[in-house]
Amino acid sequence: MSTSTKILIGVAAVVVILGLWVTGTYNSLVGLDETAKREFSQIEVQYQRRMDLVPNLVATVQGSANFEKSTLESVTAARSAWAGAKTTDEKVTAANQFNSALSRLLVTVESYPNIKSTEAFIRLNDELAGTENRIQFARQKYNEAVRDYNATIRFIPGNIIASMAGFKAKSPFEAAQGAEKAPAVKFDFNNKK
Amino acid sequence: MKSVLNALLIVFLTTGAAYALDYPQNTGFVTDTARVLTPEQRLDIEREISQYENRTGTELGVLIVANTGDQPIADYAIAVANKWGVGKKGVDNGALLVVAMETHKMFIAVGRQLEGAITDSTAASITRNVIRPRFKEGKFYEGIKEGIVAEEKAIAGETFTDKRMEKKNGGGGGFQLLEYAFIFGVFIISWLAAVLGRSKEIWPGGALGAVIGAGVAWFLSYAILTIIVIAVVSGGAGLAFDWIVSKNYDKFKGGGPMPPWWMGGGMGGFGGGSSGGSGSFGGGSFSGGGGGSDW
Repeated sequence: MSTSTKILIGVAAVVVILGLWVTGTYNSLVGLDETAKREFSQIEVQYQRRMDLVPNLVATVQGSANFEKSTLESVTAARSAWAGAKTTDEKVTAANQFNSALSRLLVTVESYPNIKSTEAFIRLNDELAGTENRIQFARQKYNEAVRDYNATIRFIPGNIIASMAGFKAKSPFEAAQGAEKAPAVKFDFNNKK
Repeated sequence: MKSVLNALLIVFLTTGAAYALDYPQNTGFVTDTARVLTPEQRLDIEREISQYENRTGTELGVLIVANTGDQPIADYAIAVANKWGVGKKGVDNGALLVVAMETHKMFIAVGRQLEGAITDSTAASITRNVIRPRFKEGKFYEGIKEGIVAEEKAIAGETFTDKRMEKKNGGGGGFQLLEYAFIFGVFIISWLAAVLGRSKEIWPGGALGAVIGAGVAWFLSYAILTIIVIAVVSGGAGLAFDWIVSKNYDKFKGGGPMPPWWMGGGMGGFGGGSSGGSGSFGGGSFSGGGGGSDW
């Protein structure tokens, strides 16, 4: 067998090995990317859950006469902003807006003992607190996934493949200041009569 | 092969996810690190839970701690429940009641599949309406036991499916291409070894390595220095490879396409991941469901 044949075979072999290496790295990037996307969709699911409680909340609160209309409106407005959000960043912003509008509303309810002592409101409040826990959990998972993904696209060899294939760094889901506290903790059921 | 690849992937995916805070070890279904219950009371609740588990397969847990550190009790409860694996693996039919003595807070973390039976508001209402009045009287044993019974009542009538059964049919195809490619690659190397090994000179391997290395470096459009470094390294590797296979070709030839030495055994399978710990919990998982209250 001539030397050139050997070289040819060798080149083919190395191309195959290189291809495998590129494929493997690429696939793991895709895997990490998908994990992050999946975790983000979990956050969305939980936010959706939260938003779905809004009509109930509005109905419960509106029953009381002269309840501040503006606090209700800001919650409903934030909810529509969420519904219209397309990109991840828009969703994060809308979610944080919604959270702060909701906490304002819940604080307002504090001064309406006739609302906050109703069974309907207590249940609603429990559900809201529950969604907050789930969001917190989902956000934690998402941020972990993002951290793994971001680390991989920055280290060799991930960074080479990532820059060739156009993988971009993702931003973690940071809660807005003051919004990470579940509104429910503001209620002291010890004072319930 | 499959188990090794999967294990590597799992290691890869979970690295960094496991920054563990210190959570207590469980001592069975009931763990009382704050020493609130007498041994008899603990055993009694343990028995209640154990009988229920025998009947239904659903695992209820209790953890009493002094405090939950800096963590909100909900996060703490969910993290411990996940760590202990309360509930059956793949069924996720577990619930864990966590009581923090110093902060007067409690929370019931609810496993994925119990979330329908024990909704967040149900869990909160059990803590608020069943357990809380007892705790206020200082009757912790009664409160916990009645809370467990209330959980059982809420679950009554639910049936649970093993999600692993549903998963079995789909998925898993993602690795196969990679595996075939890997096997193919190994085959190519053996074949290359046979070809290069037949010649007495070792330079073709070196030249080959250098050329390919340079090509690789160019392909990645890296700096000249990188090209040289990679070329030299690849050349060296090629020389070594040809040297080894030329020397050992006769040995290999007898046995047909032998797998290279580095393919040999020794890569034992990994276990089934983290188990539920020392207690009798079965590995269920939690995704944030549950509710609680103060007392």
